[in-house]
Amino acid sequence: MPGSTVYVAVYAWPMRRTNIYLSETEQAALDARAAVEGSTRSDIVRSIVDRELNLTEDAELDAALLGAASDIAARARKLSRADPDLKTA
Amino acid sequence: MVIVDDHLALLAIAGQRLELDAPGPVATTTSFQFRLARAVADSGRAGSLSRALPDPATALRRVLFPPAHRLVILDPRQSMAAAVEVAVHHRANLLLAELVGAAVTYNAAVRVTPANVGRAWAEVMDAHHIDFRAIEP
Repeated sequence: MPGSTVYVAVYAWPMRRTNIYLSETEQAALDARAAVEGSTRSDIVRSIVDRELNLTEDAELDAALLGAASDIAARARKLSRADPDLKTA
Repeated sequence: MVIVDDHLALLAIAGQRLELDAPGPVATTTSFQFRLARAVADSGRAGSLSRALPDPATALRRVLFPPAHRLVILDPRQSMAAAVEVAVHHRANLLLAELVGAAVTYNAAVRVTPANVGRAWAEVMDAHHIDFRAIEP
C-alpha cells in the first residue's frame, strides 16, 4: 500500500517477532489447523518451522556425539576404505 | 557457506563451535552425510562406540535430520552438473566430485579434517579456485 509502513521484523526476548506474507490459502489452512487444535496461527507456524528444520534440543545426545566424534569419524573412514565412491585416499 | 567433511559435520551437529575461518552457514554433502550415518548405524558392532552411543537409533536420527541452524545438508541435484564435470575432468570419485561440484555451485569454502584429505584433493580444489583447507577438529 502506498504510504503505509510495513514492519518486517521487531525483536524481543525470548522470541523475535517477524512478519511474513502468506497467500489466502496458506492463511486459511493455518487457521483451520489452529481451530482444530485449539491453538493459534503463530503456534502452528512455529511447530511447522521446528519440525521442518529439526530444531529439537537434546543436550545429552549432543554430549554423547561429541564424546564419540573421533571414534565415529574413524569408523566412517574405515567403512569407506573399501568403497571406491566414498573413500578419500 | 562452508562445506565440511563428516567429522566436522558431526561436531557441528552436536553444537560444537568450529573455527572454520570462513563466513556463512555450515553445510555438508549427502556423500559425507552417508559416511557419517553409516558409521553411526554401524556403531553397535564396535565395542567402544556402542558404549559411547547407548541409543544409536536416536543418534542416527540426529545425523539424518540435523538441526538446520547447525548443519545444512546440500541437495545434490543443485550441483549435479558441476559434480559430473569434476568427475569427468579429474576422474574424481563421487565423494570428491560432489564436494567440489557443491563448492563451485555455491561459491563455498571447503574445510576437512587432515585424515580425510585425499592425495589429489588440493590439486582439484586449486583448479577450481576453491578456498580449501584441512583443519584439526
